[in-house]
Amino acid sequence: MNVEIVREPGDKRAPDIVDDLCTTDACAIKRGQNYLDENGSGVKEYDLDVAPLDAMPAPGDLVGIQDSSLGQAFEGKVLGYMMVVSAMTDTAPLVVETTLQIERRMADE
Amino acid sequence: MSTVTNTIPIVYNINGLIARTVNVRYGINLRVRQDNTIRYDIIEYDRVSQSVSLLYNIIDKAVVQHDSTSSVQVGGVAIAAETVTIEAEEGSYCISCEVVLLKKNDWLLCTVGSTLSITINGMEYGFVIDSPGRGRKFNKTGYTVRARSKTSELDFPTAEAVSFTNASTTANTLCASLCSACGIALDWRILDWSLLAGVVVAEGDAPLNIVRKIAAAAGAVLQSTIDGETLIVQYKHQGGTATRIFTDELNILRWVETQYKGSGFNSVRISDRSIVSEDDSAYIYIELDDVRNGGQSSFNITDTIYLRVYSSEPYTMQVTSGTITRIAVDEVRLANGDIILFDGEVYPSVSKPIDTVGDVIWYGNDLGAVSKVVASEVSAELAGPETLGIAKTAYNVKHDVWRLVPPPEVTGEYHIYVKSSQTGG
Repeated sequence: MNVEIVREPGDKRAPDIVDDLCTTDACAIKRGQNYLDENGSGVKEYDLDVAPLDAMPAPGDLVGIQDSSLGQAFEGKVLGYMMVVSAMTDTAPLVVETTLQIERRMADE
Repeated sequence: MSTVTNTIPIVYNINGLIARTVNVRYGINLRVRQDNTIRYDIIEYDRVSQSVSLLYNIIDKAVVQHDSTSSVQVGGVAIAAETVTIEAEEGSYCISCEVVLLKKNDWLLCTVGSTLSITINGMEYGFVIDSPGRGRKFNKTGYTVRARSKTSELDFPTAEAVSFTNASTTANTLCASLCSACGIALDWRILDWSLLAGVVVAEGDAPLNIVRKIAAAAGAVLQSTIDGETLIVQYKHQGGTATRIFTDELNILRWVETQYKGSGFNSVRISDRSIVSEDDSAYIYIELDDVRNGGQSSFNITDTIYLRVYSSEPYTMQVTSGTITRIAVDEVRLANGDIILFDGEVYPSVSKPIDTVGDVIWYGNDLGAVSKVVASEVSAELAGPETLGIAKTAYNVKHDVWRLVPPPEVTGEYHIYVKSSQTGG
């Protein structure tokens, strides 16, 4: 098995990947696509504190972000999240702080 | 044995060169180049951070109203928690949490291996307690509990070590059996592919390590469901469409943005080791002999041109006009040291087929002796999946030398085509 994944213009080749377990063309294509997704364009990372959620996006999920200050909307991948619940006593109001870490690929810039 | 063919167009007054071809121009500057070796450029691996923090006019936290609810249970018994922190990230296959407790009696229930259930706004998380801890100072004792998803039981110390060599199977089947043996369900969200007998060898490994290696072969990562019972195998970059929208006008309370430069790669070759050995053991490669040509990259009509031919097998040479004669056989020459990056277990390549490896100078991490794997590929003694090193490696090359004499009737623009073909061995 020997597959080369090329995206236009294909002028900057990454170091070869050799993996005993990558034994079929289909597997190699997926490996290559994910590699180029990861190592191709630049990225912007966002740490966003958001209002409490009833369903948390999982790492790997795509979410939409609207940036009204720049008039932009884009999609990003969830890299992770942290949720902190505090003041969990009978007398104090519950506070839920949720931080999402988002990765945005900058292939279009 | 298959035949490998390489050709050299000798071109007069024509520009343009690609790897493994040599264009020779008479009367015009000639440039011979190989593939750019930018893969070895350390700059490509230096993640340059251009950090900017932008705080826009986003909504005030006080404006957001949300009636949150939560509960914490250990082994089905409700306990009182002061704070709960839950974290999940792409780089970790399981979700983790830390709970600060208010009461000693609640903390005493939190023994290692107990189940911890946390419900926040209807989301039901499940954990297994790793580490109950306690800190005491004057007039106050703090109780904390750390826990992870049940999927953590695929790893040491809970998991039993596995040692086996696989029979013919598929990636999904093998991973499902490893998970099942640990009481973990598997959600396989990527393609399934065949694994020939003997390609997976475990020697005292944690089941998690085997599953992780198999998933990585297809560019996938491991995650856990929030109840912790199921291991998810998914592509690192799944694509698809966003199903949830966040906006700075409604539900984003703080926004910090950082930009990183990418490596910019737009092609990559994927191989399995056995096939690489077979394919790359045969090579044929031609270049101008810069020494005999006096460093010339520009030739006159009457000049003789010298070429080097590197070939792993017997070969023949053909020209469309003029004469070509072999004047040296198996000439050994010390090549200039190449800068080579060793990133993980990948075999990097030097710029020419290697005869023997010479001196190696490591810059920083020393990964030990460097040896030839096949053709122009090398390996480092201590290279592993997580290692990173860069070295200047000298090596000897072995090649034949051919002399090309153009025909006497050459005038003006003229083309000569040189073809080398391996004949097997």
